[in-house]
Amino acid sequence: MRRIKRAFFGAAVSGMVLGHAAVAQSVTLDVTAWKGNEAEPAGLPDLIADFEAANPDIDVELSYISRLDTDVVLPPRLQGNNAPDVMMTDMPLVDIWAGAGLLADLGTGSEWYGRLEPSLVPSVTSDGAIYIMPLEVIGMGNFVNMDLLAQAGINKAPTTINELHAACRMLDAAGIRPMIFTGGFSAPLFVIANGLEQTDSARALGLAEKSFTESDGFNASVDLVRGLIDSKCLDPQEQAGLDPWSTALTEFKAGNFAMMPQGAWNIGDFSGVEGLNFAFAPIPSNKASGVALDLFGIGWSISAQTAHPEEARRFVEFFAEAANLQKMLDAESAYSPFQGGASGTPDLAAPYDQARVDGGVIMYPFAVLDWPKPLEREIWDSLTGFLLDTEKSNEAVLERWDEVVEDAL
Amino acid sequence: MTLPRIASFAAQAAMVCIVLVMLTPVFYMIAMSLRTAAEIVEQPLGLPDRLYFGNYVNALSQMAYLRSVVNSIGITLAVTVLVAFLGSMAAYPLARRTNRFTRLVIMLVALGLATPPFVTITPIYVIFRNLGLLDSYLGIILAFTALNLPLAVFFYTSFIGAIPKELEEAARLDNCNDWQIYWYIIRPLLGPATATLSLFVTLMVWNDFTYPLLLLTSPEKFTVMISVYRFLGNLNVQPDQLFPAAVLGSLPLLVLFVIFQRRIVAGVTAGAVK
Repeated sequence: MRRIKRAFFGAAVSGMVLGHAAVAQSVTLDVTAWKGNEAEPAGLPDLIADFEAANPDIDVELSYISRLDTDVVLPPRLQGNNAPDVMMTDMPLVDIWAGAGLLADLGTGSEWYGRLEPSLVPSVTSDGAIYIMPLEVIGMGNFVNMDLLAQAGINKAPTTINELHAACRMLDAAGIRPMIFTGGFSAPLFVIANGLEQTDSARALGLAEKSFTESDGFNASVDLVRGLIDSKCLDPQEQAGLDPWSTALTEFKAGNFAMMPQGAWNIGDFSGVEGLNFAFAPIPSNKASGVALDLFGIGWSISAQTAHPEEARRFVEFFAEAANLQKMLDAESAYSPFQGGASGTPDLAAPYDQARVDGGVIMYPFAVLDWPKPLEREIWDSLTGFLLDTEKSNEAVLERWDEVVEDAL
Repeated sequence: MTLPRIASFAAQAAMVCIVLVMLTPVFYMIAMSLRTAAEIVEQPLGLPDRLYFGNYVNALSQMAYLRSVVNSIGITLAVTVLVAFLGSMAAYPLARRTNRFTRLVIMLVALGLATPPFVTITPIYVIFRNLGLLDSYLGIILAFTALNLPLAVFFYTSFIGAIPKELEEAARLDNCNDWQIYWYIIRPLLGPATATLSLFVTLMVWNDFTYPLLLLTSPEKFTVMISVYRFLGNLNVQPDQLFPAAVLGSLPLLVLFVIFQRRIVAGVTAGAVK
């Protein structure tokens, strides 16, 4: 009896010691992201639960910080040597933080680095180091309400400028407002896509080696907007005052407009609207394919100061596994940044997919640092001003872009 | 109807119109929060056909609401009391002893008011890290107190300057020292200024989420505005999610203002008529 008691006591003590050791070894990873909240979950809560289940020694504490506030809240933490272990970043952030030595080199010898899409590799690699593991490439194209198009006698989303003009005239004749074209986002997407399609090098414009004012492509692109107004695609003054992130989206969901250049991140939200039959198509251009304006958006970076580099690396690599990443791509309707990686876009984005296959892809120049970030806001503002006064010359619009580029050099 | 009565009626009608315009966004927020997502899509500017509380249930289930409200109330109350107390104490000598030094101090305080928040955010973080005050209630209370003290000192200095010195001279005849004069004579006269200042400070602390986001990392210590903030998307706004959260976030403050309305108004207007 005494032996049994002793054995039982011994087992209990061993269990307690082992349990304590397990608890002591548990690491909490501090992770920040501008996804994963109620408004934009991006599959993160499920993926983190999966990661914790696969790595019982790691707890993940995810803090939501919007992209805008990331610029304000994280620099003090990075400078104060108390940064999160893993941070959601994009290239403009990586450019600043890696340059200041605040991010860890993830290593070009990583397994996932070898699988990256070749077109992304130069953008994310800097002097033989990589500070971000890309999570997704997401499309920016033209949302098209197919039911409204059908009411006007059109059965295909327009992908060329001529098709767009024809569609606008038919929609207008049918009493349907053709296009949301907010100065804040939709108009810039259209102008950038069409300007870059006819320009050899985005980078040369961003480095002031060439000027927007003298660019035939961008002059033609601004002229295209005048053409859209002539074809009754849009009422410029009405569009100048529309907010691209709230009212414009609600107006499209309500079926008040037939088309809207916007990002594929809205597909999930729009798909939940009963009775909204829409397609996600490329931005109409002079090429038959249209332009698939791809945005390399988000990725994970590891703080150079992390006390848990091994656990942080495991967390990042978890997202590089195809099956795990697929959950995020599905939630975001995005494309994999890895070669041969599947896409998360649904069938309704087939026209956009086709444009990518047909060679219509242009990378959004701000996301790959070809253009300086301040220019983005300037383009939004100047095109809003242009919509309010379309008598303005192209030079008056484009010279402001050149000034911002020169200031940023 | 006489001309003065017509003028009075017109003035009142204009005031009602102005109030309605000011309340329209609040009304819109509440109306949106009581409609389903489908109803909002169908008629973005329409009124609710029926009151739908499902959005509130969803928001409450995701917000840790009670805990964050208690945190916000505690932090706001502590900051308001500290700012009023420390601000008035600092302002008293600055208002009464006018010399080069006090003028310099007042200028430095004014500089504190003019400093943009993004300039102070990193030093505050580093100092609080070194003091071990990160992720603590004390840390966030001290941060907000420090940020609001310049306003309080500036505010009280001009207010105390207007109090007749004869009151203090009478107290000195009764052998009161400086502290007793401040506590028994000056402080009770600061009611109107304190009421107005408290309004400013309360609104600022309650609505701010940058500093809680920076200094607090444990979800159980988050304020209500951080809970609301989670419902705001980077690239889109979901009215059926954001608006109920926003209503819930501002509701406690609204209730407090309604409860203490008389005192607040009395405090703000006291001394306005001599």
